[in-house]
Amino acid sequence: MTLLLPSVVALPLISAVLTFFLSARMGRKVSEISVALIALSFALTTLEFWSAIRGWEGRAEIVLGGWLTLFRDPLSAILAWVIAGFSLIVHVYSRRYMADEPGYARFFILLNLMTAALLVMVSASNLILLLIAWHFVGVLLYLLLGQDLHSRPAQRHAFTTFFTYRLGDLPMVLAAALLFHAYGTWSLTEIFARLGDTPQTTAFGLPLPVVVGFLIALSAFARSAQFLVHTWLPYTMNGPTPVSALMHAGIVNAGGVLVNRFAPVYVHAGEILHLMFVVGLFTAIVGSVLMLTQHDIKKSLGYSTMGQMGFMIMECGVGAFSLAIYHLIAHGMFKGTMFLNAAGVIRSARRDDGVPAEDLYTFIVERQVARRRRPWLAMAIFTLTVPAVILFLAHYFVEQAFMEKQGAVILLFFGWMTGAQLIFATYHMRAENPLRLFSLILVSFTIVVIGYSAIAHTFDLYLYPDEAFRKALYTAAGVKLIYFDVFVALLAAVIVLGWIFTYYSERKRLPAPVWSRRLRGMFYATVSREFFLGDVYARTARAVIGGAGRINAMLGWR
Amino acid sequence: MSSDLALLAGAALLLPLFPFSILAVAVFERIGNGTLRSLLLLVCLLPGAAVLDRAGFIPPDWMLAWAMLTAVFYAWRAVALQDARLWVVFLAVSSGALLWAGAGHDGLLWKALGLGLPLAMMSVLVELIERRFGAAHAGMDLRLATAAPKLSALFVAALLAVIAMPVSPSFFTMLALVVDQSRLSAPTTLAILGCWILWSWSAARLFAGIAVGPRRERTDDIPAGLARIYGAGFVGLGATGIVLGGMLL
Repeated sequence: MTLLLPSVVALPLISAVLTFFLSARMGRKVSEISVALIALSFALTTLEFWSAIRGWEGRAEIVLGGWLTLFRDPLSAILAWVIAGFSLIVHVYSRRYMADEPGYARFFILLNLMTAALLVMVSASNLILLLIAWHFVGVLLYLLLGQDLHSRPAQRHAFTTFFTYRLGDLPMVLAAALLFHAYGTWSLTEIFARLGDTPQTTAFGLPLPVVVGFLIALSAFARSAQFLVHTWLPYTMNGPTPVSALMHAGIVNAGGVLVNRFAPVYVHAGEILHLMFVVGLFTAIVGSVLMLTQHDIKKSLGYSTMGQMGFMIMECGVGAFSLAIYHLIAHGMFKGTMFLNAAGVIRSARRDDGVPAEDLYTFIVERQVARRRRPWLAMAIFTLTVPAVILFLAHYFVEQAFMEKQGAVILLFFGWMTGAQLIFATYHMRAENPLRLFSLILVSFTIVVIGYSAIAHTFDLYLYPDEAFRKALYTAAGVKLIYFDVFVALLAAVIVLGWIFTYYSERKRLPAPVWSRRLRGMFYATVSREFFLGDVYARTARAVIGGAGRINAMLGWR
Repeated sequence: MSSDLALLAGAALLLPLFPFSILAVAVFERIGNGTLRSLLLLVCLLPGAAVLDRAGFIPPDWMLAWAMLTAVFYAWRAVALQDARLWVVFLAVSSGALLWAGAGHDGLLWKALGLGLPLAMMSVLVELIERRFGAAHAGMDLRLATAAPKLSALFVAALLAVIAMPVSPSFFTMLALVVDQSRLSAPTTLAILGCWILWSWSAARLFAGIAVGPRRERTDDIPAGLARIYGAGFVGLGATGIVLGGMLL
């Protein structure tokens, strides 16, 4: 069984080599080799995942020699399974999708190498091996996004991605160097063990876990498109659709994976978890706002991913590490399907949109709202209380002590707001039988919440079976109880008053004041220009290149 | 004392610090033969490192700062370059200056080899392009990817090796330099990382300028046999990198 994981990694590599040597002889048929070997790899990861579910005692290491050491743990088992699965789907899809494109064999070689690099990245138990895989993912993505060598825009956007990834690679190099200096080993198992024994070790005058945690977080931010280093993500759509699918379904999630891998560091770096919470929350909000204001559907999808990545990092920030893994897998499945389906949906929608002319259609497409309304105050109270009760009960039945975890309470607020938004939207819908509609919506919401809570809890037990460690993560992410209570009270008050005001102003049709309309206009202009960040970066790059050019000319190019 | 100074001056010429670097660039740029240029690159870096290593010299802070400024200065200037030959020379100067960060630490000679080998291979490839197209210049609209796919693939491999991507020897060398400095000097560490990112930036610009562009007629690609030899050379370079990594880290 110990050779299962190395075989999983080796198969895509063998596939890449075979494709390289046989492509001239086999032509397009060479992709069959790739598909077959990736399918085999997926089958092996399924076996590995199955044995992990049936119960592994913690974490084991497979030593192949030198730096070639892999973790055999629940995290690597589930992620390898997901990566091999996504990769198989993308391989099968690409066989026909890329058939008329030049560089067919090159594409499959790169895809195979990317699969291997991702598999190594999630299972590497040696810092050097992890660094190699991490760097490879960046450069392979650059080459995949720039698959069309004749398109200058595709190359330009591939370069933006490459540069951002390089920016993110270097903090990790520094983190690795600091860890090696402190503990004299590249083995993550040994590093985590010694770090637990001596968390007071310092670097640059600060506790080592805090410095390393910060550097790892920076790497994760760049790879998972957090605010300020997000501009590459929405512009990567010039690459082939299968690459977009793979990227949005898997590669962009690397930040969450990295943070989970370094979870033992974050137990001693609560400050960095707080930073992650703020950055993630801000990214989630900005990504969602930008998504809603795009006219280009592909960019809109890109910003949607950014918002989701923000949420994933925020989950890590509140100590819900396993939830971030669940989130990235669920989001990957959802977004990957969307990308792979996009072309087919657009083609069929040109003939017929396929949306039945029912309540949902009149509400969403025709934007017709219900004429008869329920009493606004009652509806506001209903909107606020019902989701809160459902959420509380669902979590309570899954884990009674969930209220002790500050992170879980924070995440409940998001569920609460989502539920309230759902009921608010339902309130506006025109329906022949409103009671039936509300019942169906509430049942759906309840099922989603129960499912989410149960799966999240299962993930927690699967990825972090040690209860003390789970508790330590939540504790590290927590703040002083008094601050937390004040924060929660304020947040609850804002939400309650906000919803009541929304219902009230809707009902009374209160006109927006002039200053508010102006402010909204300015905000919209700023958002539609994506906060001018792209312009700032482009101008900075031009200044750097221009300055270098002037100095070169001045020194006679010497 | 005087012999120490002489050694130091020799090292400052061979691992050129600004303004000695101006002289080095002028000499290298004038050498038309790529193989000779490659040899000279190695000849400069290896003896330079040997001199520093032999003297057991640990550069004082001001000198390390001078070396790092030279390294970053040339890495930054390389971003604006369009000529591949000059780019190799600028990166060689930047790499040579970076080696000062390894002075006083183990394996300086291996580090010089790690940074020099990919540059030497790149230099030979640049000559191949120059022979076929007249120049390896990003402003010439070469569109190498369609004009000469095999040469283009080798060019990409060489670029990646020079900018210290795994498993090139330069990757392990850069990592070893960061390890050497990370607990000693934050500014030196940042300079090494800064060079790394600037090299990547300049390489991506060079790649986009030389290899990418609308489809054009396939012209004068290298023969398959030669491509295989160079390919094997890159596989060897990767293997060297892994061995070197084992020694340095």
